[in-house]
Amino acid sequence: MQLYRIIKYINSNLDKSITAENTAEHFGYSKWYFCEAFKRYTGQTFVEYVRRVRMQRAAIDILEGKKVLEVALAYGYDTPSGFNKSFIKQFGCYPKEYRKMSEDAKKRYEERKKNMLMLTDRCAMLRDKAMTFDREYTHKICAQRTYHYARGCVLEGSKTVPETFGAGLASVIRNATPFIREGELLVGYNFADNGYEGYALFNDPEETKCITDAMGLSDSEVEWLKENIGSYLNKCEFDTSYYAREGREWGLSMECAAVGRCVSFNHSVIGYQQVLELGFSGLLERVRHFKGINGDTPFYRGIEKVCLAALEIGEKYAAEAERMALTAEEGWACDLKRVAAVCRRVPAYPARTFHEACQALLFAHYFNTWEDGINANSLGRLDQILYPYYKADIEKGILTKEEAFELICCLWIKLYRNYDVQQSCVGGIKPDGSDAVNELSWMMLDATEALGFVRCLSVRYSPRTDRAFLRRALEVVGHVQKGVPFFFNDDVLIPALMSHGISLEDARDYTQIGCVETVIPGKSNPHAVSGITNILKALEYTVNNGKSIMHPDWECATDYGDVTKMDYKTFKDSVFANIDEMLRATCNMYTMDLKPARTNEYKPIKSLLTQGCLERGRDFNDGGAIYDYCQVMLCGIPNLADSLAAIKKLVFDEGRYTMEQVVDAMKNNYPDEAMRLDFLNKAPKFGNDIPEVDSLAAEIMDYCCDRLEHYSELFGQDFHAQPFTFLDMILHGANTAASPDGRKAGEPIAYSASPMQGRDFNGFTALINSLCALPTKRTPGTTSAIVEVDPKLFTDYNLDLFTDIMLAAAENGLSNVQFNTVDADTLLDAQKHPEKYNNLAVRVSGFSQKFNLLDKSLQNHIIGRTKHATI
Amino acid sequence: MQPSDNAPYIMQILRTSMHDGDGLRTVVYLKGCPLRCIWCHNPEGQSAGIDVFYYEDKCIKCGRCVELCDRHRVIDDAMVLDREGCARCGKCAELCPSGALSLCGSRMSPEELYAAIERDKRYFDRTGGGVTFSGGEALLYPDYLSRVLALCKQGGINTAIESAMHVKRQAIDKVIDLVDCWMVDIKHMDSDIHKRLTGKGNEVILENIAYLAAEGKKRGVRVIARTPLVPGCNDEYQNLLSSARFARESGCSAWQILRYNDLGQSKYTRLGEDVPFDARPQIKESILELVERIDRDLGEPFAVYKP
Repeated sequence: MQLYRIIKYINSNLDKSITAENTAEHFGYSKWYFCEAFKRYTGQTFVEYVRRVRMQRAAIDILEGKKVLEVALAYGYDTPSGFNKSFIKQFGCYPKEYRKMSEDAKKRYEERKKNMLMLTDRCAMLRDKAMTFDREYTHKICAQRTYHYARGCVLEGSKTVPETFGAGLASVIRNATPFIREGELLVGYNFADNGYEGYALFNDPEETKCITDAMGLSDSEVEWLKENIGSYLNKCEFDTSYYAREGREWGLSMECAAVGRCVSFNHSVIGYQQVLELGFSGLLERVRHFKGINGDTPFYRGIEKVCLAALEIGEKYAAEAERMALTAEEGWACDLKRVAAVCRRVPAYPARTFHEACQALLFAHYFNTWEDGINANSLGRLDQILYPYYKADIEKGILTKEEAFELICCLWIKLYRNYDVQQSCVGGIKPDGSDAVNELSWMMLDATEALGFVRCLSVRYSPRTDRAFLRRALEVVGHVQKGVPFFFNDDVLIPALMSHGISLEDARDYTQIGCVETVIPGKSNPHAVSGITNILKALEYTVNNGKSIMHPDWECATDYGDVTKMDYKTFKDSVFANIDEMLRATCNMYTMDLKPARTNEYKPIKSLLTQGCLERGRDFNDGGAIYDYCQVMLCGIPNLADSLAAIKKLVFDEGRYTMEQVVDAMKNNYPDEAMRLDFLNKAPKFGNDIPEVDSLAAEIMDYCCDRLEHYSELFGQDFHAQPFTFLDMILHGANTAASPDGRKAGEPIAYSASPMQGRDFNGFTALINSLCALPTKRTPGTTSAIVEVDPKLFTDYNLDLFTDIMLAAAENGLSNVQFNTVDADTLLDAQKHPEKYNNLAVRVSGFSQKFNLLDKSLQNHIIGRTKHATI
Repeated sequence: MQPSDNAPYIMQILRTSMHDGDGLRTVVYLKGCPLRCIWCHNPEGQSAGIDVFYYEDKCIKCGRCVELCDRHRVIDDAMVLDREGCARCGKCAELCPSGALSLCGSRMSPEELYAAIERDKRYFDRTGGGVTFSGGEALLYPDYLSRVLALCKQGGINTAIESAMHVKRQAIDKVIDLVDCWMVDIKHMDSDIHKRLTGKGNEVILENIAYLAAEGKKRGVRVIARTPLVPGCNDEYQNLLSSARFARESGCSAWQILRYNDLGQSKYTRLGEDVPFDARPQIKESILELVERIDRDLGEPFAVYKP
C-alpha cells in the first residue's frame, strides 16, 4: 500500500467530497481491500481519519475568524449541522463556542501576563538544562561529595566522632570543584544528578563499587577509597547492640515498620537566615563564644572546622567566575563579574543585597545537603527570610521586580530535582500574628507557575488569609497541574504545636519539611518520618490471639481471648489495648534507637544553625535543639474505623454475621465474595460525613494521641502524632491480612488519614467534613490528605467558588490538603503509553513525582482514589 | 420525629453542586412528578414511590435475590428482575451485597432532612450557596416542603426551588415566603405540543409562572424561567423567542436556556424501562448564536445560556 501517497492525496482533497470508494478507485484497489489495509496501517478507519484531519484544519480556520458556514462548505459539508456534528465529536463543543473558549483563554492569559512576570530567556535556558539528564557531565563530579567526605574523615579526622564528621564536611566544602554553569546568577552544586542522592557512606561494597565506577573518579582515587574505607568506617561505626530486638518487638518491627529511620537524617529546616545575617565569620565568633563558656569540646571543634572551610568557599567561586569571565562573551562575562562580587561577600560575611541573600542561602543549603544527603533537607519560609533584603534593595533602587523574579527563578532551578522534597513555604502569619504575605510570596507562586516543574512549595493559610492570595495559589495548582503548591491551615497547626509546649511566637513561625512534617525553623529537631505504626494490625492481632495472620509464627501482641465470645465493647477495648501495646513498643524502640544516634550521628551544620545546640554545647542529635521531638506516623486509621463500624453494624447490631465468620474471613481472605461485598457496601465508610464512622476514626486518633502523651512522659521524649503513611500504605497493605472493611489481604491500606481510596462518594464537602471530624489540633505532624479533583475546578469559572470552599474548610478545621488534578483516563492512558506522558506528574504522598517513575502498584493506588468532579 | 406517612420519598441528596443556583449547593431531589416529559433525564423521579435500580455490570450472581423472591430469576446465566408484580418492598436491594440491586427513595422527617442539609452550612455561608429543592416535582409536597424550608430559614440557609410549575396555586402560596430563588421551566409555549411532549397542557404552568413572577417582584425574590433545549421537540426559533418573551413580560428576572443532556438514557436501562426518546443533536445553530439572536429580537439582553 502506498500509504504516503494516499495520505497526501487525501490531505490535498479535503475540500471535495472524498470517500473511501473514490480514493480506492483512484489508486486502483478494491474498496474492501483498501479499507482493511488503511485501518491496519493507520490504526483508524478511512472515515475517522478524514474527519479528524478535516476538523483539525477547520478548527484553525474557525480560530482565524472564518464563518462556520464558509468553513463547513470548504471541508465538503453541505450543511452546517453535519459539520457541527463532526466538530462536536472531535472537540466536544460547537465551533462558535470553540472560538469563544479559545478567545477567552487568550484574553485571560493576556490579562494574567500583565500581572505576572515572565520567564526570562536566561531562565528558560537554565530550566531546560536542569531538567535534562546530563549523565556524562553530572557523573564526572557527582562522586566529589562522597570522595572528599571520606578523605576528610580519614586524613583530617580525629578520634572523636564530632571532629571526624566536621572534618568530612569541611573537606567537601574546601575541596570540591567550584561549579558554575553558563548563564547562572546563582552558583554551586549539590553533587547529585537526577537519580543519585550525592551521598554514600561506603558501608556496602556493592554500592561503593557502583558509585566509584559510575562517578568518574580516577583509578588512583578509587584505589585510595578502597584502601581507606575500613579506617573511615571504624571511626563512624554505630553501636549496633541497640538494634537487636527479641520476641514481640521483633515481630512488630518486621510487620509494622515500627522501627528504623529513627534518627534525624536529612529532614530539617535549619536557621538559614543566620547565615544571611551573620555570615560564617559571625557564626564562627558565636561558636568560639560558646566554646569559651562551655569549654573546648570535640563538639565545638567539629563545627569550627566547618565554619573555617565555609569562609573559603566564596573566594574559590569568585576566582573561578573571574577565570571564566576572561574568555566569556561580553554579557556573560558581565554576569560572571557580578557572581564573583557576590561570592566574595557571601557566605563568609553578612548578605547586603537580595542577590547576596539568595546566594548565601543556597550555599548554606548545599552545606546542609552535603552533611547528610539532599532528600528532605528543606528551606522553610523563603518569602519571610528573603523579604528584608528585597525590600531594602527596592527602596534603594538597586533592584527591579523583574530582577528579583529572575533570581527567584534561578533559585528554583538550582533546587530542581526529579524527586523534590526540599520544601519551601510561603504565606501564613508572622510570629507577632500579623499577615505574613508579601510581594515575594506572590512572586514565588509566579515563579512556580512560570517554570512549570514540580517545585516542592507549600502555602500556609487560614480563614483570614487574603482571599486573592489563596485564589492565586489555587490557580497555580490548576495551571501547573502537578499537585503544587499544597496547603496548610494555620488555625489547626498552631494550636496543635502549642499543645506540645511550643511557644505561641514559635508556633506561628512553623513550616514544613519534605512532605508534611511540621517544624519550627532553626529551632527544632523533629525526627521526622520515623516511628511508623500500622495500627490496623491491632485488629488482626486481636482476632488471632495476639499473633500475626500473615506470619503465624510471630507473636506480636497480647492474647485477650476468644473474640467470638466477646461483646462489642470488650472486643473494641481489646483492639485498643493492642494499639496501646504497639505504640508502647514504637516509643520504646524509638527511645532506644535515639541513644546511639546521640553519640554516632553528629550534625555539625545542623547544630550550628539550630538554636540551643551551641548554647548547650550539645549536638542536634544529642538533644541540643530547643524543641526536640519525635513524629510517630499512624497508619491505617481509616481502615480500622471502617472495619470496626462494619463489625458493629453487621455483627452486633443487625446480627447478619457472626464473629466466627469475621475471623474466618480475615484468616482466609474472604472465601465468600458476597460477604466481602456486604462488609464493603453495607456499612458506613469514613470520608462521607457520616458521624457514626467518622467519630470512630476520631476516637481511634484521640486514643493514639492520649497514649503518645502518656509515653512521652514515661520515656522522657516528646512524641507527636502524625497520621501520615508516606508511601507505606502499599508496604503495610502487603503485610496486613484481610480486614472487615472489605479490604482483601495484601491490598494497600488508606493513604494517611484520607479515606480508603475510592470509598468517598458523597462529594468534596463531605470528604472535608470527615477529615475535620478528626482531632487534628492534637496532631502537629499534620493529617496529610490528597484530594483528587477535576482540573475544571481550577478554571476561572469555578475558582472563586473553590477559594471560598477552601476558606470554609479552613474554618471547619481542615489541617492540610493537597490536590491531584489529573483525571483517571489520562492516568490509565499514561500507564499504557508512558512515552506520551514524560512530564506528567501527580501528587503521590507528601510529594509530587513523575507518573512514569512510579511503580505499577503505586500507579494503581493513585488511579483508584476517588475523583471529585464538579457537579 | 419519625417521617409521617405523607412524607415524600427522597430520590437523592446531592452535595457539592456548583451549577444549581448561587454558590455551592446541596440539591434535594424529591420523587413524584405530574409530568411525563419524553426526554426526562431523571426518570426515577417520576414515580412517587420507591424504585428498584438494577446495575447489571455489578451483579456477582450470588443468587440471594433469586432465593428471596420469585420476581428474580436466572435466565441464560443472567439475573433478570421481573418488574411486573414487584411490590417494591426493597428487600432484595437490602440483601444484594454488590449494590447491583439498589433502592431509589428514602424517607426523612423534616428535621432529619434539615440536619443533612445543615452539614454544609459553612460552605454555603462562604460561597453564598444554600439548598435547592428539585425533583420530580418538589411542590407536590407543600406541607413537608414548607416545614423543611422554615427550618432552613431559621438556620439562615439560602433556599431555592426548581419546579416545572404544574402544581396547585396553594402549593406556591404555602412556600413563597420561604424561598429565595425560583427556577421554573417553560417547556413549550404551544399547549397542544406541550401536552404531546409532557402529557399535560401548559395553561396551569404559564399561569403559575406569571403569578409567581408578579409575587416574586413584590418580595424582591428572583424568578428565573428556563427552557431545556430539546432537539426536535422545542428548539424551533419561534417557540424559543415566545418563551423568552413570555418570561420577560411576566416579570421573570431572566430566561435561561439549558442544553439537553442525555444522562437519563442509562437510567432507563437501570429502571428496566424502554428509553422513550432518542435525542440526536439536531440543533441547527449553536446555542450562543441563539441567545444572541433572541436578545436582538427582544431588544435587550435577557437570555442566558447555562451550559
